[in-house]
Amino acid sequence: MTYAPMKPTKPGYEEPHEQIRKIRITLCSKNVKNLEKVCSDLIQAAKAKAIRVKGPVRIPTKVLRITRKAPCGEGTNTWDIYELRIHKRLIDLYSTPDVVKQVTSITMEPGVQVEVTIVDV
Amino acid sequence: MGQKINPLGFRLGTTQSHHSLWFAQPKKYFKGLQEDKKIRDYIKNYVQKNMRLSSGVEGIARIEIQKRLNLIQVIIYMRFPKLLIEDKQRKHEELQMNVQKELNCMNRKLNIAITRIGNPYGHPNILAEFIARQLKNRVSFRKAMKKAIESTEQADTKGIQIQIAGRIDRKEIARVEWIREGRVPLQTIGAKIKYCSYRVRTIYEVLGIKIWIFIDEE
Repeated sequence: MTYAPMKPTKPGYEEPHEQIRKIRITLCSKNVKNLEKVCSDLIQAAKAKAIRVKGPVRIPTKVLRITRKAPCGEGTNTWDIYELRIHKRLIDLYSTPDVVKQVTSITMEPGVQVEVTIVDV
Repeated sequence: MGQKINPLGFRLGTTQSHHSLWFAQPKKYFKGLQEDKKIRDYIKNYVQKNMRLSSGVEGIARIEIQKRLNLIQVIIYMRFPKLLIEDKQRKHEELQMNVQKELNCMNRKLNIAITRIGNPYGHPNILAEFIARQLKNRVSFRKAMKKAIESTEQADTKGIQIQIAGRIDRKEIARVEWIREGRVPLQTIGAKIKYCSYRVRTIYEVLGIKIWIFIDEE
């Protein structure tokens, strides 16, 4: 036979790992520089592989404040305010999970937390 | 009278960088902190125990901890890394295994790197340990301070201030003594100032040593 035997497939059946899924990458960090760098790296890597990317969505920063009475001075207006700023970015990719694993394994910076969730489209 | 803020904390945004670089959500922040503390304590104890055998000053300037997804990177800045490099393989692995046991997490890799510092006497931690050793050997405190300042002048610094507090010379009444050489502009945020506060426990007393070293102005 000149033709190779065909794999028996049900009509309309897709192999699961080929399915395109929506993959949401959440990046959290305390400092903006590292975060923006990781964001742009991710997006560049994704565009290089020709994946549909929904750009970095910048979620409003959360400012966690702790106020205490300063150790010096008397009166009402002697306070120390300590704050921690949490910056969050979202990146949506529409592709297969394998490719995404490649993309995310490239960029690694300390101080940036990366969470990946996979949503069935 | 005003009181002095810790110059490291004062400059964190600009001239000073954090020694621990990691992020955790507020609910899990305390775990990360505890881990950091355990790592630092363990490394200091280990170095103290093993360094007693050889010559002298331990010389850990600082310990940087970076945490990523499944990797904890610890960088130790030391003055004499060769003392650890003697039996390097064995001690390195021992350190790693023990720190991992402390942390109870084998699922995250731990990577310990040791770097040598160029100017050991430009670092207040190392100077403080140097002075502490001399005070334990009952050298007069003024001599100890002056010796420390001399050794710093060889390094590349523009100013240094040393303060010793406590029962100096085993007198009944505690006091505070300090010496300054050069300029130490504590109010200037753009000035790179390294600071260390170190506690010396001798048989007779507990002394507190504080050292400010002014390195550079931006």
